[in-house]
Amino acid sequence: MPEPSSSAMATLFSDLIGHHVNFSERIDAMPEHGEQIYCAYLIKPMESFRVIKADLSLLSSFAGALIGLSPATIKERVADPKPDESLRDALHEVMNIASRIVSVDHRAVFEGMYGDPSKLPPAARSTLLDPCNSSHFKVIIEGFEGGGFSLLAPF
Amino acid sequence: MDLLLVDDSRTMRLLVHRAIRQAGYRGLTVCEAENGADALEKLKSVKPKLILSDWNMPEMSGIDFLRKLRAENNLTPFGFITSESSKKFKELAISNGASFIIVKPFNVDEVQDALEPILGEG
Repeated sequence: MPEPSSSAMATLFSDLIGHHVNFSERIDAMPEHGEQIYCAYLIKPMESFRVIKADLSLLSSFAGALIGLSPATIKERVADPKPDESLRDALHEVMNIASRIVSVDHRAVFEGMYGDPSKLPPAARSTLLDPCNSSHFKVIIEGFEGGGFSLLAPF
Repeated sequence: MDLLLVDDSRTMRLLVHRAIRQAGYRGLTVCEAENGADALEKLKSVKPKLILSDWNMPEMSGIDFLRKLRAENNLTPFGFITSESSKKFKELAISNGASFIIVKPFNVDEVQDALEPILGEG
């Protein structure tokens, strides 16, 4: 099954946030940088799950850039133990729009975003723990903090 | 009332607002709703010239909202702003009475091209 290309991902995120984004594919996952976020996508019509696992700092850069925050403000808000609703809502929207590139041939529906992988739907958790196919990327965002991004598939 | 904007994401409502302003429609009056059910409630008191709606929303999806509107003979021009981009979804939207689909992520030109035939030049 064809996997989403790094150029398709770079184009989608660049268009979304209005800053140049580069995705470069790697053989292995990037070392984790701080807290991780896990996003579950239901693939139709197979009803199986794909999972995006990425650094919170990277996804926060996408979300913050989308709503016009500076890199310094994004860092402050991510470090603040009190949840920032506007950043979280923007992050949710970014990962919803990312459903467009999660699967090349099938429809992907964003089911949810989790800081704790044990909270993933069971089928999505299985994909995370034992993926049949994994694509790993190093992401660089012009002017913002980048990081690691992995797309995990059950087939 | 010029525009009813229906989306469960506050971020997306903000981005659509911004794109509309950047497209030159600075004086538009905009009413917001969080899903189809909320929008139907708002439509009891407002008569927009255009409805812009997301597709995937809790409580009532955009396509169910559109079907309900048309079943009530409400012919207000209706456009989707959605991450659903397949041909199947476009056909479903148009066959149910939508005028256009703007696919996320969108740019100002796409918003302007969609709004101009209905609202005139910005």
